[in-house]
Amino acid sequence: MVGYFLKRLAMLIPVLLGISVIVFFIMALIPGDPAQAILGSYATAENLANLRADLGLDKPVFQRYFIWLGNLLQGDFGSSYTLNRPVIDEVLDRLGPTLLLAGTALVLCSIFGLLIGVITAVKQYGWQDRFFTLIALLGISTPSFWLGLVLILAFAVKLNWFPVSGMFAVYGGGDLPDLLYHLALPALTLAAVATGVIARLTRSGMLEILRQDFVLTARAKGLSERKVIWHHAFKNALVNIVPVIGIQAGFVIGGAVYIETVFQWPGIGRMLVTAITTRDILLVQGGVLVVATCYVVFNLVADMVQHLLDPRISI
Amino acid sequence: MKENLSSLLEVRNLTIDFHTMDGIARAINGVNFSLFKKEKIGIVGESGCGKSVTVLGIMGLLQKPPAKVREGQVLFKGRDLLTLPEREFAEIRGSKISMIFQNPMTSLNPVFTIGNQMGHVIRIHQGLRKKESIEKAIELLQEVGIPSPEKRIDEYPHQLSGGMRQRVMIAMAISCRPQLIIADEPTTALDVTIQAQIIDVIQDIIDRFESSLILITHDLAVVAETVERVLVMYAGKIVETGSVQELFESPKHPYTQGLLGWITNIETERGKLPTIDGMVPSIFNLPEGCSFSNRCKQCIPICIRQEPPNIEIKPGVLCRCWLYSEER
Amino acid sequence: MEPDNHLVVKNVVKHYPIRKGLFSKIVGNVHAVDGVSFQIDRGKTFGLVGESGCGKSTLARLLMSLEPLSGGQILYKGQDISRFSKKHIFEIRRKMQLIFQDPYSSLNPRKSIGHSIEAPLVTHGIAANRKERRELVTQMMDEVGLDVEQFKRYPHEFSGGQRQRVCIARAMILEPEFVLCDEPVSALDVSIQAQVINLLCNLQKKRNVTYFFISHDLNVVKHISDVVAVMYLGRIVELAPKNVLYKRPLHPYSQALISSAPEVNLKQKKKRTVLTGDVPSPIDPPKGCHFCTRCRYVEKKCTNEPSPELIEVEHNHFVRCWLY
Repeated sequence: MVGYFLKRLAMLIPVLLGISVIVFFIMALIPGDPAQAILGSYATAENLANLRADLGLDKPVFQRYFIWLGNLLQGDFGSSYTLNRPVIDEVLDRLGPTLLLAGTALVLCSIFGLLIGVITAVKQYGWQDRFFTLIALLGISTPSFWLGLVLILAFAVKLNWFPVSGMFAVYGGGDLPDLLYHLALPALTLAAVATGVIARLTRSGMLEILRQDFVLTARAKGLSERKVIWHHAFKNALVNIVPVIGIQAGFVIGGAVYIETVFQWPGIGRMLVTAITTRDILLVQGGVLVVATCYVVFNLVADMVQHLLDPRISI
Repeated sequence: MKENLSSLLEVRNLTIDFHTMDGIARAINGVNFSLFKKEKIGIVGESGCGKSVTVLGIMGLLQKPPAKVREGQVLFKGRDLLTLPEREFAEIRGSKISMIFQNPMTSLNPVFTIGNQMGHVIRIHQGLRKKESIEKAIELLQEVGIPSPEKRIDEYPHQLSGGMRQRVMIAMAISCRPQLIIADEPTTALDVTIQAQIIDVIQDIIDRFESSLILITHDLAVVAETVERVLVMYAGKIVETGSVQELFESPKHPYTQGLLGWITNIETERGKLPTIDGMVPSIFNLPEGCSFSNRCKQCIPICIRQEPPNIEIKPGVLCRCWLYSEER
Repeated sequence: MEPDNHLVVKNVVKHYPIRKGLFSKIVGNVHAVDGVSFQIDRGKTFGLVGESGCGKSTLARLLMSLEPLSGGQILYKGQDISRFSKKHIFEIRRKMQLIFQDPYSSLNPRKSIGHSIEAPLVTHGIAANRKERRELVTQMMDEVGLDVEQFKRYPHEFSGGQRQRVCIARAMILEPEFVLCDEPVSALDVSIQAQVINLLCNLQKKRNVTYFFISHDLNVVKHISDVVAVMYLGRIVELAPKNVLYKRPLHPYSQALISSAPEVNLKQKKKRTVLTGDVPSPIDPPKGCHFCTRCRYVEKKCTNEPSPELIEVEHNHFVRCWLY
């Protein structure tokens, strides 16, 4: 188990290197000149050239990559010229709110997704199945930014139950209830798609497990139906659903980017959107790298949990 | 016949339908039989004949829907199981009546240890504590001949061979000293040498625990070696009932004759095997008269028109065939 | 008829490496087939019995050149097919066909059965045109007892027995000389098994095909075969004409196997030798004789010395045991 874990950790290195390559070159290839963005449209050619040299942008792109990578390995992500502070500080400041939002959404979608999945499987073709399947499909097929706007309109603007945006109240907030109050709508919005996906997969997984012989054995042993479903079938189904939850964790973090924009949530997503529009390349690269790392780590954790659940996978 | 022994199980006119997209299929039709204490009976037939549906119906383990018990009673020690509330029925399952399934590879839950799965059934029916239930489980594994049971108890099913897993299933089935054990093709999925081991274990257990046995199989040879009385099923009905001797020495129903013809011939010389031509009719679309009439070599006009009655040829020997009727 | 050694198998070995660890180092081998030799005469049936995991399916794949050998030779009419190129193997496939156990999964559900039977003709470019091909197919369907009307039907409309007939037709349409039957009746009902076995026997008589017949059902093998080999943990432990083998099995494993097979014989309950324990893992087979862990007659020699050879103890009766 420990050996396998170390092996998987070692495999993270090439993955992260690959991510760094993709992140760097995509940013280098997209049109737009950081020097121009900093100096504005009235800058002289000479000033632009000087700034480019200062930023190292006059060097060939491969050389720039290796300089950046070398700095990264020493923990230096560079500094953001729009914010005038080290990228790493800004990213770490923003990571907390994003992880809070994504983590809450993940917990919500796991609980609701699994619950709905099991109910729809057990009551296959019943009204519960039809009703929740409809909800799940709506969740999957509704674009989350649109869902976010609808929720804001309904629950914040019309009903005034929740705040429109932000993480804390401007005056007097800052405690836990205030945080949860602000967290509710964005977390729900973010969880919607993943809930649908997890619910559908749990349903099909449970249906397959419920057909297995050992479920019949469990019933023949005289177990109550509740025990058969939650003790025998669910744990088996979970083995295959956990990796899906890991992948959904990645999508949730990715989805946070636009949800944060819709709800003005001060996380990495919003930071990235601003950084992209201002061509703050180092900030974008740093931010994406951290998000990608989170994604990979989530998947790793999901795999480990699957191994713990399933004794047949020997490692 | 064991007249002085009271009957343990009595199945009366059990009829089960399956409601599917393609229509209603009559899986079993008017199944009647009784089983005495300490008696061993076999139900023989080919796939789709309704033998598994019969025992799953007795155990109340059919998925409803699509299955539906149309009529009939299952009297276990005089109580009709089919009208019992689910809670009370569940108390009987696994304690008074227990079951061994065909495929030991898939019948144990892969994510729990042997001890966990066995302990569970012991705890719910006997109210023992966890530690005691594990001790009991180890004892049971010893009974069914599993070497070093105290080590096996912490292993997962995939670490055991097929034969060992089937022994675990048997140990689990006998954990509450059931009065009736139902074994559904317990050796079909196993290798020949392992089959012989498992049959021996089942025989031994039944005799020592003084249970009754219903053995379901398509293998006439296994039946011949294991049980005392045989029911032959075809297309949802019992077509012949009799003691093992009677059935193998002078089979009455043309279908039984056909099956036996194959078995005794294949063991001998090479040459053309006697066959039963054609196929089992679809249960969605059974012939009007005798279900076997379309394959029967001795078919007479009445067979196609009218269903044959169940005729008692001599005490304990029943056959559903017009050939033995005086009314034909 | 003079025996012409249709297929000769010489000391065939197949190992599968087991890889482990960070660098996928080979840490051991699964000895799936461990030095198997035999020969089959034209038009005869060679039966192979053994329990699951004994290597009989691996041997089948090797015979059909579906996997490379780790060692040894397979001579088909004197040619070593194990060294053949892909092109040659394709040509030889025409003469060597295969019938599988499961008639449900071995037919393409989206192809009508007529097309399934016709497909090999197209692949091998036999028959000049469509019309000729159709004629061959209908002839074949008739021969295996399928209704020609059913040409356009799909597999799901057929029962297991009929599907197996389709598979047989598909294998036989190329007029092969050698057909490997891997448990062809195991998935079928008892009353249907007899029909399929009769069909296979008829086809053999008519076409002088050689069968290599794998089954775990001793009775079926006994009925259909001329020569029977018993396999245990990758090795043939006994090989003899079927009557000899079934009447007087010599190897302790064959004895146990044959006595374990349930039989309908109420008059004299036979005394069974029930083997204890399970088959050892082929990753780490016992040193010496592979059967020594379960054998009743085990001696020091069996465990200490390398495995005995397959020796001819009487005419055409080979046994791999120190007792003889």
